[in-house]
Amino acid sequence: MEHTHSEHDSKHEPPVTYAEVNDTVLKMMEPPGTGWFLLLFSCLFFLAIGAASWFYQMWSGFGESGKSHPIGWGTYITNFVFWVGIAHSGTLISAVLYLFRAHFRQPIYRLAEAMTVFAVMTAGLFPIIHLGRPWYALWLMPYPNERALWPNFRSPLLWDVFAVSTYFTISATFFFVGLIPDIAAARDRATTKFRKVLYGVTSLGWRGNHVQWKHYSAAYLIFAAFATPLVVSVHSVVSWDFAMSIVPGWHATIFPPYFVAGAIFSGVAMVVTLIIPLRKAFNLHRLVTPFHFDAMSKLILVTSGVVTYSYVTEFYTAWFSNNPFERFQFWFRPFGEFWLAFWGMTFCNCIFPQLLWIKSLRTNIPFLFVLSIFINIGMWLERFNIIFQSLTREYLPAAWGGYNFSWVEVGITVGAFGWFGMWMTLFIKYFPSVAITEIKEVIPPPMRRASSHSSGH
Amino acid sequence: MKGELVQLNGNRKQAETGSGEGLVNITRRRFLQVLGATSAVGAAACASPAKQEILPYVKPDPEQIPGVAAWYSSTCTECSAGCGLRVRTREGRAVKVEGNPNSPVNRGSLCALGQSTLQSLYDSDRIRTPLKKKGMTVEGPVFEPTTWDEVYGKINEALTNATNKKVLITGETQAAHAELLAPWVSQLGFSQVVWDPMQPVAVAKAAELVYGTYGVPTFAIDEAEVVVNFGADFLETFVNPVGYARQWADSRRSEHPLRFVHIEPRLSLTGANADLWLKSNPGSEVRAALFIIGQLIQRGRTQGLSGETLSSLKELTKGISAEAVEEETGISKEKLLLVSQYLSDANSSLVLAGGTASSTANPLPLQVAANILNVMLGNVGKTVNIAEMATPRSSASDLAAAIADMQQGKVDVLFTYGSNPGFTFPAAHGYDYAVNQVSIKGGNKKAGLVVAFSSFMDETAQLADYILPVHTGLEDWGYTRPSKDAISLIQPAMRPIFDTQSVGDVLLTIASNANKTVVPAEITSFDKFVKANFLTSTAAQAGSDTEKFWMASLEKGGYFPTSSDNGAQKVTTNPSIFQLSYGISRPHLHDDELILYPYPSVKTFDGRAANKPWMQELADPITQAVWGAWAEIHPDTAKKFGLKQGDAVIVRTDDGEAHVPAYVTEHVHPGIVAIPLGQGHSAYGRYAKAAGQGSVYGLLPKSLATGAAALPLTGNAVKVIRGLGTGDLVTVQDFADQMDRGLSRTTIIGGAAAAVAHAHGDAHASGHGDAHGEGHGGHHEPKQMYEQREHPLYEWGLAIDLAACTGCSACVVACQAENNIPVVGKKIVNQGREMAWIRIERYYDSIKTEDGGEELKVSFLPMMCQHCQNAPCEPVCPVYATYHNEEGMNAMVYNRCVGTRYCSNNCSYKVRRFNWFQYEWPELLDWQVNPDVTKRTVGVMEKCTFCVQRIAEAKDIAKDLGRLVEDGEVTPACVQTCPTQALTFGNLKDPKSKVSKVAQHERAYKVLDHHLNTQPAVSYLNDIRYKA
Repeated sequence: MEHTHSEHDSKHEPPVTYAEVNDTVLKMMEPPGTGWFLLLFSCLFFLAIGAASWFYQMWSGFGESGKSHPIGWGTYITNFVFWVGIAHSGTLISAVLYLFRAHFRQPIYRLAEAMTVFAVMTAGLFPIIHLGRPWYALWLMPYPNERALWPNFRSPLLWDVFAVSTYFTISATFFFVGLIPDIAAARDRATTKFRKVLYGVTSLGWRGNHVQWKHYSAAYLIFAAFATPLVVSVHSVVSWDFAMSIVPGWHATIFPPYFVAGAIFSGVAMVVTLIIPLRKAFNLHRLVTPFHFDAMSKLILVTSGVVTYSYVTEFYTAWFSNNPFERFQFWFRPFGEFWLAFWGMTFCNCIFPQLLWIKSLRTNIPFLFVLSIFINIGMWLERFNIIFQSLTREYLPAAWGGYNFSWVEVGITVGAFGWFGMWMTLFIKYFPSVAITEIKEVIPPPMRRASSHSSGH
Repeated sequence: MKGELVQLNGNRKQAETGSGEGLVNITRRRFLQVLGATSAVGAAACASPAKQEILPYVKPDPEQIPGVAAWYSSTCTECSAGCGLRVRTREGRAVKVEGNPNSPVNRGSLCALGQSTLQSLYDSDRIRTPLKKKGMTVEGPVFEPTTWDEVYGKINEALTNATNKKVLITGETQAAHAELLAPWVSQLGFSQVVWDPMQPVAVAKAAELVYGTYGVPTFAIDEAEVVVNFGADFLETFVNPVGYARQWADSRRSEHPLRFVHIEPRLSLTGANADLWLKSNPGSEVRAALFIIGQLIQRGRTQGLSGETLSSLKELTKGISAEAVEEETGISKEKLLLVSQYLSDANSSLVLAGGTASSTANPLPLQVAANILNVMLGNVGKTVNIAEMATPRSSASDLAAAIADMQQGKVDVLFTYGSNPGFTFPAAHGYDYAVNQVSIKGGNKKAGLVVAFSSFMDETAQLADYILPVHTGLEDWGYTRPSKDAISLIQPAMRPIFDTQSVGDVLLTIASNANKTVVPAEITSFDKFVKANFLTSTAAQAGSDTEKFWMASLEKGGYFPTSSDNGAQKVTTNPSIFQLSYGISRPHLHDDELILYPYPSVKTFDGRAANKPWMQELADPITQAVWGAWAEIHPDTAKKFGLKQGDAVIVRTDDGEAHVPAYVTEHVHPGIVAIPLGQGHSAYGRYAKAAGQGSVYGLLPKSLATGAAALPLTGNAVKVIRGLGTGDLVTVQDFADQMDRGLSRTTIIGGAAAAVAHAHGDAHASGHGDAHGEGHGGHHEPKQMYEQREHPLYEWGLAIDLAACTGCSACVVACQAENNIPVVGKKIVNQGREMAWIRIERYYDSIKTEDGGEELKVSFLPMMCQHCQNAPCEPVCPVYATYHNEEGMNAMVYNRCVGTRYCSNNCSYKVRRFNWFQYEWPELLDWQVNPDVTKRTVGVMEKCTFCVQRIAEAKDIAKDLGRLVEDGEVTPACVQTCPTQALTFGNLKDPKSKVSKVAQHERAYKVLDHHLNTQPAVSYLNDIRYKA
């Protein structure tokens, strides 16, 4: 937080104090107002639309989605990859940047972690939703049964099951461990019976003594080390869903790093999308400062570069391979029937973020908010291009086909945002969305003299 | 059904004992009766038959083993070709039809329409009981059930009271009906009118003029070196498409394939198989034919002509210059000279004309010219057999006259059977009004009566006062006469489903009620009539034990002597042919007009197939469109009329209009609008009606063709107007370019010497655009990091000879029938969710010609699961629902499938089909469901299984016999029905099996294998084309 001070010194703002952190963060958890309820109910409303759409799809038949014979995967798998990608930045910010001691992570990592956990919970729904017979989703699990039937360990879809469930388990644990001291802080201030019980149970008897802090630090480090490879592995495995197939446009060795970079790109963008309104609503200006936005902008700029490089590499590989099917596919994306999706993606992911080279825009909050939305759209389009465009133009021209977007898919996609939003909304009201502990680590500890200054504030 | 069915030696018991020769079971079909009674109870909606038996299944009939199919021989009655059938029944229900190998007509194969004859039997909208017209509503006539006795009483009353004419309109009936009707009509004082728009009456008439006998000759296509064809669609609907397709294919895959030139204004399926397809101006074909005659005269190829005819011909062709003909026909003179050269150089040849080219207003000149070409080339007696002729009786002029009589109140009684003039005759004649004149007013109020003997509520039946429901072909007795001596028996395969009667019995009852003697007294029913006539016809062969001969013949499917009549082939040409007008027959067109070009297709024929959902959902091989009609229009014309693919089009004449979607294609003449015949029904069941508007018959003028009793289907001027919005065009294939991917390949052979020269380097010729020199054949060593799979006993494989595949799509329907593949309807097909396990991919390629030009090459590629050894679908399934079995097949476990569809994404052939919805069979059509094959549920993947149920059955029998399955014992439905036997199936593990040999052929290759190393079990053999 020293950096923060140096930036703020010019404006002659007083330094952030322990008490201010407690006040600001825990204030977010005070009994909700109308705005919060409106948000929650709109999320629940979208979730209801999604649930109704899904039940309609199961009742009427999977044909209610827009898939057709060449296009077995579409919106649902696009959503799956999109949400897994969103889930990425949380672990990156909390674990990887923790190990690298990148201090700009502190005010945002809790939110990023929450986003991770809820995004994985959202992503995990889609492989089930997209099944022709979702009631048999259990068969993807290697459970013991009397017929000794096992799933096929050669199938990337099965790897997916493991990768996503592992990622969820680890990131949820990591998230929870990090929360413990903060929950204890909330417990100490809890007024309602419900909150007292909730925080009393979930703080696991945290008292903040030295032994606990010692164990906590060790555990946090171990989990961070544990989670770090998952940042790479989960999206690599997701990318293998495509890369391991023989579909032109999918079968590419660049996919794992390409997908990981894309995931970080979209994840950071989503953090920006979420933190800006939150900062405004809960007056977190002194915790989440332009310094942090500047750092995240730089991360976006870097990952945008990696993603752009990957796009170029895909085209180069297609050309260089002299494979007629690959070549046609990569001609088709920019110049074929669905060129708009390709150029939309290129604008959102490659061109628009280049504006971040301008320093003033890196701390321009409204600009960053708009940009982050564009990146979210661009990354959704990227997955859509890969999945959908590749499937429309495969090997036999006689079997080429199109897609029939349906309101059921729109409903389920909207429902996913409702589901994610519902968890986020509940979270910010019930748990500290900014890591009190970690911020306190970097601001000057309260001294007697300072405390009087602080109290006088 | 009073007679006895005779089953083939197909069941397990007989296979075990190995007996077969002449062994027949003569037990009464007790079981069938019981089952028939129970099914009648099941169909409780209709009036119950008087007698019902419900007996427990205590002692099964020896012939009916539960779970084992019983096969019955019969004859197909869908068109007049008379293909032999073998009907597979399970527990008393017909579930599949196949061709009867004994029949010389089809030699074991069937076309798509023949395969779908089951959907005539099980049509959900069949008439189930005698009906009486109750009245009219806005939606059409309303009928109420009545009894047979009441209708017979009415008929008898009307016949007694009738003072004016009595008319019977029939189709081109089977021989048994024709032979019963001859005395019946004369005894009861009826005049019979035969109407079947598919009958090539112009061909028959021209044969009379040139050859001296009225009739359609039998052609020996396989004996010709060169076939020049003016529009006769002998691979689709012309006379005997199954038989002719086999002849054509036998020649095409031989060492010296015939060279095939096809001249027509619109690319037909037959034209698509030609070496040289020439797009002609509509109505100008006769000029091309005359030019060729002139050329042959110049070259001295006139041996068959008498001096007198020759001099008249010289006179006729004198002034015809190459340039003028090029102008008239739109075919370049070089090509016309080339065709003349082909004919002149060939030792044997065949010139055909027919189909759309002979359904013009003036069809005779072209037919006559074609016949003269055959005479001068010496083809009569070689490739044209005029001793064996089919004699079509269909007459548009008779029908027009009868309608006129009816309108004038000259007809008291009208019976209709097997013909649909209410739909297939131009509305301009006013058949509806005429029928009303008979039924309401009549010449005599007491008599006026219209009765339809019909199985279906078609446009004709619904005009009647009474409808008597009759058996369909699979429930009835009868016979056809495919040649002079041969006789093909029609035998019921199952008890009638409903309260129906045989038409023969209806006619006999009417006659006996009227106290008329049409048959000897001992013949009390139609089946006895069939048997008696059969035995009379075959008296010389029957020997003393006629009963045994009858049974043996029933089992065989009829009596098929080996030699057909090649006797007198003397030609007597009528000099009146020189009085005909040999000019172009083409109407004067206004700017907003085009020439109407209706054509019969393998999908609907003249409209009779429109009630069959399989045929509606079958993709038309050329346009790939399903469900309903469309209007094929040239791109230039489309531009002129402001039309795009799929736009709604209104085609209008003074007599009516048709609403169809536009189908823009280069392969039609710019001056025509081509519409398939037979859609746009206003009745004829739910499927026919669901297929939309677009009846071409309604557009036709009242005038009939000159010189032949036919309709002028083609050549009428029609207004073409852009309609509102889109026209609901649904196609299953939207891209026709192979993009040099080498999918469907062609071997180019060139020169008159027919030297086989593979054209690998020629990208245009072979489609090897990606220049994989070694990519030929499936003979390369498999390369993969895993061990090659072991197949201890069997490795099933399929080989498809593209040189023989015509694209006729019979296999698609056979597969649909055998494997319980649901019909999903137009809307779901439009979403790209058709379920057919086989699709016939159609690509437009081009071939370089000798003179450096390019000619169209249409490639068909039947695509089904390739059963790859290295299948991309298998490793990606997370639950092992699809896996490779030890017999080399890619197996699919429906119950295990969770529906990730990853297998389909990863299938490079895109042959997997997903059950997007739970598809159901409507009542009655569900009787056809094959009990050996699982019906799939919603959310699971399915695909071609190589008819694994048939493999299992063969293995079961072989196991009982203590041996392995031998070559030829397993035949999947597609292989079985293929009219050209382009498909070969068997065990690749056995190097001596037929399929192993075919797969090793020098033309063999595997699709995409050299790119993807999928190692398919399906081999393709290059198509063959002559370089033009």
